[in-house]
Amino acid sequence: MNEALKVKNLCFNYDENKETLVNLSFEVKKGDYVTLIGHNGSGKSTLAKLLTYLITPSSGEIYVNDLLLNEENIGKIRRTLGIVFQNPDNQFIGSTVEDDIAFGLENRNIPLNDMQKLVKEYSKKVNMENYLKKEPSELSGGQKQRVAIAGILALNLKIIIFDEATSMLDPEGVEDIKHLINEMREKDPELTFISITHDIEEAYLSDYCIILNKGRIYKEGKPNEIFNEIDDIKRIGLDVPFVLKIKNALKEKNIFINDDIKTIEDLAKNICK
Amino acid sequence: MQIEVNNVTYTYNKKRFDEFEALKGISLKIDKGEFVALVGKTGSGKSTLIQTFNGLILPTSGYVKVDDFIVTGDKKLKRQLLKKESKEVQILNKKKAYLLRKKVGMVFQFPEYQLFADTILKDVMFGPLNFKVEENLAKEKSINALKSVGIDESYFERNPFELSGGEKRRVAIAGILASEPDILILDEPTAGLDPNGKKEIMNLIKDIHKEGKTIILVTHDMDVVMDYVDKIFVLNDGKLLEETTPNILFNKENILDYSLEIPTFYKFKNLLKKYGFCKDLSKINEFNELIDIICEDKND
Repeated sequence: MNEALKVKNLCFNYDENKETLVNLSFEVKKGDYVTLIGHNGSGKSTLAKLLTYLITPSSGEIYVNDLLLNEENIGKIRRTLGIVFQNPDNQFIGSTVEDDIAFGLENRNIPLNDMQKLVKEYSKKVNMENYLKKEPSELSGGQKQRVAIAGILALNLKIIIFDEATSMLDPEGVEDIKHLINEMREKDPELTFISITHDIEEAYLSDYCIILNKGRIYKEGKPNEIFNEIDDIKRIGLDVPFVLKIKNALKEKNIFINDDIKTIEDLAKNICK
Repeated sequence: MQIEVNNVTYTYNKKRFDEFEALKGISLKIDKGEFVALVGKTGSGKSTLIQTFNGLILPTSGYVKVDDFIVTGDKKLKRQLLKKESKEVQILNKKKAYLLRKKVGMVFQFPEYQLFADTILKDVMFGPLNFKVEENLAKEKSINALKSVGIDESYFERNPFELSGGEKRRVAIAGILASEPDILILDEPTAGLDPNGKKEIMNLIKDIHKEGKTIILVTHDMDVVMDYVDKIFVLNDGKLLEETTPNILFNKENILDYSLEIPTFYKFKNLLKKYGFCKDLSKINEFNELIDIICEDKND
């Protein structure tokens, strides 16, 4: 089994007249960094809720590591798959930062000593080690998001989903979390990371990108390929990644830049060489 | 001067073991009709500061003056100011707080989570009714507010929870506009919206500004700052670091020290400089100009 996630003919509607997700099928390879993008209302967040069994499909199936997502398997699946949602106020459970990070660990019956170690380790990784005794009301939105992220990362999961999980962080904070995720992916090459995001630049850097539009898969594939179909991208009101925009504008003036160049840093180096 | 912030400090949990000084002596001024942004990293004090503007938080020392209202929690200072200022000036107290809150409308982060009534119109009417506006007039004001944010009349009797995220946010903003504030403060109004939703909300705010209202944004979104804002206050660690404009700020050599998310365009310009691009980029503020100068450089 090479797929961390298999979605087959997935449909979902909140009410009878309106289909929110229509016949979605896709696969996510183990160890991949996958981005899911699309507008508000495209069905991204509904998909996230389905993947975590907060709601159940109207029809179709989801397999996590070849295990069908249903009532019977959900306990097992939650030991391998975790999600961080966008609004940290809806997911702060503990009365203090340390309680909140420990919550998931407690559910897994981790011994107290190990738990204390993990809480310390992960609070440090998200730069919240000095706030362990603070209550949620004393924290900013971004700080609460860091706590939610630490709580999930500490669980040693195989599949991590971020649903706009860094939307309230400042750029330094976003970079910190990106580094942290990369570090964890290097340590465990089988760790699958799925990011639901509006950030086209992030999508451009991922291994695989799925674009949702009006509840259907609009395009999927390697970012270099799908974003190059510019008219299609613009048709649904998405932006073209900055690096690609520059590359295309230069191409028109007969200056050609290699496909491998994906970050603005590499692009600047290439232009200046 | 519409808003005057005078050496304001604010300490959370004063005299407790976890006392924390969020504002460390801030002074700034905002004129009537300005479109300004407060920026700075999380924990810089932005959200605390705006809450002093409508008296949700009273400064521990120093004061905020909004038109004729003085907001402070410093008793000694209150007495001094009352002696010094003209007769129209009032010190904010509980009884008068609603007058200030009517003047200063505040749209919090994710305002759509605060919708609660069973119809959209009722939700928007809550504000004016709360400010003791008579029912028929409250309804009229609410209808105007909803129309101004582009919510169609056919929606008025529907449940707000049937709306999409962007629509809910517009209803929430209408709920504040219905009370006809002079000053509108918005905390992260574009958080969680896609590029189209962002544009919609920001164009709406731009229209509200054109009507003569003062707009104060708290935001991490530097693309928004670049495209809409006239003046920026950069906060850091509870202090005012700088008062500036978008063009000046993003062209600064040491912009990275500010830990702001600068627009990709300016990030790229900085990287070009870093890797030794030969031509002067300081006057380049448009995409096409940048492409042209890169071509020129390559062809030299």
